[in-house]
Amino acid sequence: MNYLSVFTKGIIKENPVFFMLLGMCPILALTSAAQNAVGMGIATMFVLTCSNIIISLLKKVIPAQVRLPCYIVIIAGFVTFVTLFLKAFIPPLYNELGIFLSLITVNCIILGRAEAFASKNNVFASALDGLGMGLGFTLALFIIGSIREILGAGTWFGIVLFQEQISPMMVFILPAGGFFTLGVVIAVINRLLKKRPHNISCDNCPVKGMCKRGE
Amino acid sequence: MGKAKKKPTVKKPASAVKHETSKKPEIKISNKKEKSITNFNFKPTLILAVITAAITLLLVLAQHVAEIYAEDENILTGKLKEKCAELMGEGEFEVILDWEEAGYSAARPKEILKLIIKDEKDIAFQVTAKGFNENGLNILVVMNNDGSVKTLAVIENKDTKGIGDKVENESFLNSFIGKSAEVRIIKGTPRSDSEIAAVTTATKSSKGVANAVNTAIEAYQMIFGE
Repeated sequence: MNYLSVFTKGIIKENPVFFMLLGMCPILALTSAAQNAVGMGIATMFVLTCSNIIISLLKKVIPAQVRLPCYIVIIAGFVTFVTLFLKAFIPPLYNELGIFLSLITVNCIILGRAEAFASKNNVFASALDGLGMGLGFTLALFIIGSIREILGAGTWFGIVLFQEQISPMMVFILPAGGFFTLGVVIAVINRLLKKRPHNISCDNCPVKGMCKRGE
Repeated sequence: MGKAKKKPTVKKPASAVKHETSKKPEIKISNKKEKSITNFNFKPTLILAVITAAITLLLVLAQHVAEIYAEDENILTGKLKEKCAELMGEGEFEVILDWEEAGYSAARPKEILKLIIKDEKDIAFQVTAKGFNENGLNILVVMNNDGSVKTLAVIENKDTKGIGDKVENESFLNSFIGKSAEVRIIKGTPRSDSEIAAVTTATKSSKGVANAVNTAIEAYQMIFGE
């Protein structure tokens, strides 16, 4: 197994946000300021890596019938640990992330990697996968956060770039702007890296028979 | 992608159908046997319970460690400390949380987080108020010795960025200076001393600031007033 590719695939080639479209909730909710976005990314990366390690260590012990509850309990444990740590040592970040810190537990990326990778691979590879995917997630948060903060508030990481000369477009730090930015960035990145959409079969689609693709 | 092929339906011969129905009674009996309680596999549930217990235990330990480092409520930290120094000047600051213990005639209302006394004479309150969001505003109100507002500053603003933070505008905050009685927020031009113009598009946040100031004025009257 090529350990380097296990680590790097999460950053660009199989970026969880831009190509797998996971973790959409925090991407939209926490990217009005680049600083908070990156803080969230690092917290998620920590939880993802730790839970991948533990789940990989316990993969022979956890029976298949209860694997999902076991994974969730382990993930929730690490999220609680991160919450306590931030509350005690970095209160400003804890206040900014607020409820979204607890919501890391249900971030699809973490459960997805546990099910798809950590439960089937050795500990070292799982740790690298966690770190890579976490970095990819943080990178996505950083890009979207920076765009929204610069265009929407005229600052970047709190440093004022322009306020009077050009009036910032407030819509970018509101929810609608989050959707616009995310959509455009996903489209641009997919186009630049020449990704083709997945070939999904029509069998389970509710509008099968009505849309042109089925003909 | 070509047209989807329709699979031709195969008609089962009559003999095959009969064969299947004769099998059914056998399958029914074996199902009943599996449902007996002694055959239930407890192992997965047990493992889930053990993992949950282990994680809970570790978290209890982590909680104890974290509490040792938790922020001490009796001291000024961060932005609050900064604003106190800026608005009240340098000096000895004391934070009073338990008012009855300190000998005051009233208990601390829940909207007031801290009573801050500098050099045993200058008074300030840290007040929370509902702006657009619940507990959206956290404001430091510094009082004069006659119960009127000396100055104020926003410590924390959780209202909508770009809209609610307009209340941090200096001219709006300055309109509260000198008030010693309850003020009301109105849209348009104020016609009396007790009326203050709202910040346009941020009425709820403006009302939140006014509520915080009113709470501070009232609290000063309660403890230090005649």
